[in-house]
Amino acid sequence: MNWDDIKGLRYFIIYSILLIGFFIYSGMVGWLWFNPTKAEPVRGTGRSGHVYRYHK
Amino acid sequence: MADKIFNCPGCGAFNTAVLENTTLLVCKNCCGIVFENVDSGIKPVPARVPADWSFVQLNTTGEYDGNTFTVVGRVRLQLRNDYKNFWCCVLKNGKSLWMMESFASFAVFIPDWIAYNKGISHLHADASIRVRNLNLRGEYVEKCESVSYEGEIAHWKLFSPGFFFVQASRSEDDTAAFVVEKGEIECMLGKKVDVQKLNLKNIIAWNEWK
Amino acid sequence: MSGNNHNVSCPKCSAENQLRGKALTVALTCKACGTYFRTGKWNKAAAEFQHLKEYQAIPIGTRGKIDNFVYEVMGFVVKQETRYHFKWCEYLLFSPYRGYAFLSEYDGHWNFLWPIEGDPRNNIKVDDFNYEGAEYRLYQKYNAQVVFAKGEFFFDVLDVTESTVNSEFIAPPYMLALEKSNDSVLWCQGEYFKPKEIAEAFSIPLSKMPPRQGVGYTQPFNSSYSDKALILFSVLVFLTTLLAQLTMSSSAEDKVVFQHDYHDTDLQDQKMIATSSFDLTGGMRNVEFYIYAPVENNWFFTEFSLINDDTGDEYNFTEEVEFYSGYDEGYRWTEGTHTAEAILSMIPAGRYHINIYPEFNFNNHAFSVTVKRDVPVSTNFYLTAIGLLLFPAFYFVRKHYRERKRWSDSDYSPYYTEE
Repeated sequence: MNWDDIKGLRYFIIYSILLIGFFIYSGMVGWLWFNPTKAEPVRGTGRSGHVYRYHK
Repeated sequence: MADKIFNCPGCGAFNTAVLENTTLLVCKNCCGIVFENVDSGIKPVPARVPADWSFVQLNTTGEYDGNTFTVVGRVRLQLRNDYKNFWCCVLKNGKSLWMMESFASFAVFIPDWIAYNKGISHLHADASIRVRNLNLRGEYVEKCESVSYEGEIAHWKLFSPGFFFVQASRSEDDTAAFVVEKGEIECMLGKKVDVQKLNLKNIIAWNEWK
Repeated sequence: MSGNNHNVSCPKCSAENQLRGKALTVALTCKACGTYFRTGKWNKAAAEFQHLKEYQAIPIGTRGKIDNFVYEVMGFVVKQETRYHFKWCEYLLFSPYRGYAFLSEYDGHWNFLWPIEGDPRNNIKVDDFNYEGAEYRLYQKYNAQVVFAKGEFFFDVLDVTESTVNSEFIAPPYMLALEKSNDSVLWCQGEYFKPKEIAEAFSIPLSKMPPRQGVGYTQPFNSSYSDKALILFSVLVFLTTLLAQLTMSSSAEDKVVFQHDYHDTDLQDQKMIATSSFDLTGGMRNVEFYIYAPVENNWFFTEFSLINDDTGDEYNFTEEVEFYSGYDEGYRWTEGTHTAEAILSMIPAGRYHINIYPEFNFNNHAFSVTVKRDVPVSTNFYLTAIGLLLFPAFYFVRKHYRERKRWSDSDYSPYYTEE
């Protein structure tokens, strides 16, 4: 691999660096890009703690 | 060896011979024959060497095999589809060698003519040609239309125009130049050389091509 | 001596022609009438051509710089292949310091060719061979004739063209051309040039260059980097990704932060079980839920709500465990498992509890939940690897189709067999 090759591959190199960087970042924050568990986040309701909302 | 000075019988100009065994000395002024030592019975015809685009000239210097040389003469073969400039070079010890040039391609020959007895049928393009211990391959066969001389030359057989010139080589290294004239075949052996390695000096600067 | 002008008279119109090539010129076309004739002692008739001016992109006498050497256009010919009758243009170039060379142009694709010493095949007559590190393959073998000529030539271009068999071997962007007759064997090496490069070298407006059509037979698929470099870099980035994955996997905490077994009696009168609180540490990380339910020919369904004790943020999801088994024609069969896994991504650190909403069935009364923090996962790695390999995969698939197209005009295509 010489300088011309590196110049020619610059877009692939940039893309690879971004993708690997994103992969490492995702690994560090526990981000799964594809997750079969469909979790539904709900922002804080102000009723934090042990809230028993669903009684029989 | 001491230089020998000859008077041109045509114009009276002084011409210096530096080679050990000069075959032919052509007047630098009028192109007439100043001196000849020919035993073949062929008389060279005085003629000016036609102008071509060679950048080598008389007094060009160079190096080959660790020896410096100076160009002192030329035999120019005009072939049908090519040309060959055989530049006669003198080494410091007075011995000579031939530097063949054609379209910026160079080869250096030992000035020693060898008889080739295997017949002309062996000499054609792409044929396997064995000379001494060399296995060569025929590169081309060309008819020579004219021969012209310049300066001082040695160890050159004088051939009448109309002979066939054959070149055979082994890859980028060994090469042989054959002259086929009336059934007699003689050749010189040499090496192809990269012009850069010859380190030529005092060459013609064709400025329009720079 | 050298430097004198050379003049020859046209045998047809007697016009004086000054030879630019001096004594090197052995054939030329008359500047006045266009008749082709030889300067030597040849007993050959002069030839006349129909004027084909529109083919010529670079005028005679134009100088251009290629490989740092100045060349001048000495002659121009249009050649025609004798079998398929396709035509192409050839320019004879000259430099006193490099000798002669050729520029050939076909469908707007240019090749610069120069004579080389020796036989690149080492005198072994094969169609495929290696030369200077490149793999050459026979592309075409043909006879040709000159249908138009203009300018000066250092050889009888008509006679030489008609008497030689030409073989061309390619290793794009390079080529090796063999011109062989009874009297000569000449090897030339060539390289593909873009029209823009030729236009710039000879200071010709690009608009005057013939437009490029199709794929040139020596046109490189890609000239900006080598296949080897692409493969090497792809392997490098793959290994980097693999290394990152191994490092992240080995350094993952993979810690059980909660585990409990439940029975339907734990529900009491409620519809929901609230777990005790547990801590998720280490910033933003994933959380894995592992559910076990000893169901037999039955299912267990539950809804989970992971709740941050401090902020009240919830992450709701459902899981189902089902397992069936039986005997069919003497063979035992099973379907499903007793376990289920769920994973939540990007869960911030904090104190959490889980609200579980289980739905028990008739013969199932228990389940267990295990919660792990920061578990190693591999799906991102596979997706990254696919993402990285997309580029080289696309490159090589496209190259394959381009190569097929390149060889579609050849009688020696490796992609087609004779029917």
